[in-house]
Amino acid sequence: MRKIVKLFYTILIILFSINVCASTNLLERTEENNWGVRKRIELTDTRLNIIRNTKYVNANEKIYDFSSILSEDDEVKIKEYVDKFINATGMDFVVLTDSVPYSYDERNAEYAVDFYDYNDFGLDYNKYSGVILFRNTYESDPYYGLYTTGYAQQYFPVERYDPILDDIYPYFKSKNYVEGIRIVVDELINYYNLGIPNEYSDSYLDENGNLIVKAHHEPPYLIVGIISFVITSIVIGVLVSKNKMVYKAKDANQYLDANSIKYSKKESHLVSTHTTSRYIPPSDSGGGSFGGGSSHSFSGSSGIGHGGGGRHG
Amino acid sequence: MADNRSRALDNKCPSCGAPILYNATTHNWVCEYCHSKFSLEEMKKYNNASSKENNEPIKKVIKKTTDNTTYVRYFCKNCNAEIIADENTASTFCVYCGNTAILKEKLSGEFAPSKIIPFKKDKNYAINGFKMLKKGRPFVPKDFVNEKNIEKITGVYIPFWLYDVMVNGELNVKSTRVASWRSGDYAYTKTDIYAADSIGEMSYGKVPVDGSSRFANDIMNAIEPFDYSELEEYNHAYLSGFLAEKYDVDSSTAFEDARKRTVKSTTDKMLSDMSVPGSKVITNNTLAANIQKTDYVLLPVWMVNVKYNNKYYTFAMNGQTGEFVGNIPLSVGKVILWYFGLFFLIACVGLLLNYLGVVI
Repeated sequence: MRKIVKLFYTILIILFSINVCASTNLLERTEENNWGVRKRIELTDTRLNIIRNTKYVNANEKIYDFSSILSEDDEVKIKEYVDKFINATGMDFVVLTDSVPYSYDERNAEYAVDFYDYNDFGLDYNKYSGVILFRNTYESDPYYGLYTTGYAQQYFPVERYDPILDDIYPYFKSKNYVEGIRIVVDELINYYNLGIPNEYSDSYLDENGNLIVKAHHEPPYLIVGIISFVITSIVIGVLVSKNKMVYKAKDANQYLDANSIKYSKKESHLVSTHTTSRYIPPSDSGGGSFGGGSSHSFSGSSGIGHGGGGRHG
Repeated sequence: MADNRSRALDNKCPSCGAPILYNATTHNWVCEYCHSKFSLEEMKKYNNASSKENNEPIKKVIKKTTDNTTYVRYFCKNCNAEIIADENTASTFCVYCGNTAILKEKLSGEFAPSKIIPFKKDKNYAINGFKMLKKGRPFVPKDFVNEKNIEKITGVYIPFWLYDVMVNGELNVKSTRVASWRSGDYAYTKTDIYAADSIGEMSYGKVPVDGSSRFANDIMNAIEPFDYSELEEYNHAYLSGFLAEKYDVDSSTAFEDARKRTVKSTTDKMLSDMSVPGSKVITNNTLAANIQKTDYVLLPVWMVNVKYNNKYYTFAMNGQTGEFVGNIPLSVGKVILWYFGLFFLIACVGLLLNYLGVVI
């Protein structure tokens, strides 16, 4: 009986040592450690509920394979890619796998960015810049997404992350995650080296980390030209008229004796009145906005701005 | 011999007998030879311009017609030289001795003015008025207001008819007020039609109409108004040093201009006094102007003839108030320069405002 018990413990210890790798170690969120949140996030009651349900991990590990789809060798290779990205860009890179029953893009995105926001990711203090690659292994609707935070939104906007998501589709579909992540990292580094795209050169991050892109619009030459023409014509017309001082008098107002005005009859009355109505079909066009910029970010429950998207498959 | 000739009347200095001129700034008569000064009362006292002797009717002797203009020959009372003037000239100068020649028969009888406003602004004031035309007018050609361009500057007493006019009658008006509003998915338009009737009368005092066809009516309109409180009893002595005209547009013809002006003003006043909203349309207008009184007066005007780039321009200045009018030529180069400069400036400001986020 003792042998059986020893064998059971031995098997248990062996199994534990194989399956419980560093990336799936969960830490406990307590009031003492501020619920594991180090970012400048206001801890409201609603947020606290979400934070308590968000996995709390050691942020230095970077690879969190809760779906257990990566071998140790895979993790070693992926860690090399992660370090390569961090060294090249100065921004964080996180790989998260999990199985959560979400089918909507938005829910997958919220899950990934909450994990990023409520753990200590992001290498810079202010904007928490970095990228999280999320693989949802939910059997009914597998999904993967690449989400950006802080300055990563400027370097890797939709025009850049969309092709990457397409490029890695066959690799993630065939579960060749190592190759897929290598492609992600290589392409991101290439884009980073190209700098911020021209379309985003005037963009900036607001206090919540939302990417604000100034509206690019062609100066309204035609409107300015028409306004200038009208104003100039009026001004020149007035100045030209100053050269013409001779005019034919049409009235005699200045000779009217105000005391002589007498009315023997002065009447007025309403002759008729009628009202018509006309149906106006509701307009489906909204009002336009001018100037300023528009936000190109979404946010999770933390309120921090993120970019990025994903694919089903 | 002299009694059989048309004689040109002049004003002589009571002290030395030299020709004497009216001074517009000091409002008296000053002899340029002995420097004596005389008031109107003194001029009358010394049996001068308006004296009975000088106002006796004298027959004209020669009248000839050339190019549809009738010229009349007179003889200068000072030097006996011949003076030729057209039939409407009432006061001119002898080309030999420079003496003012007042052709008094033109200002006698039916042509005798009842009142006159003497000149208050002198020739220098008119010259300065011409020079000041450049002020506030950027398109005046360079050198246009140079004094050397003034070909002739003449003080002229111009005949005016002054009408006291009563306008009365009925005015009927229809007015329409349209109000629009929106409620829900419907736009509503309410149209109210009103009728207004007024019967009334208004009086106008001393509406001036130029009685000389030689002067453009619009120029004479433009130098209005004159201050009629300074109207004086007519006296030939005021004409010394100035030209004068007699009327050649009779009172009934000239009144048409006053009639139009007074009826229009009365119509406008009645319309504005009607308490109906919206745009008004006149359906019936029986307003008629009736002359209450007519005065024939001489009013002072400085005529300034300017020659610039071989073209002639006429300006006029109210000899009482100093109001200076006339049409100034445009410097096309300046207009183009200003136009493009201003257009460019406004366009730049517009683009800058747009760049700074101000809505355009």
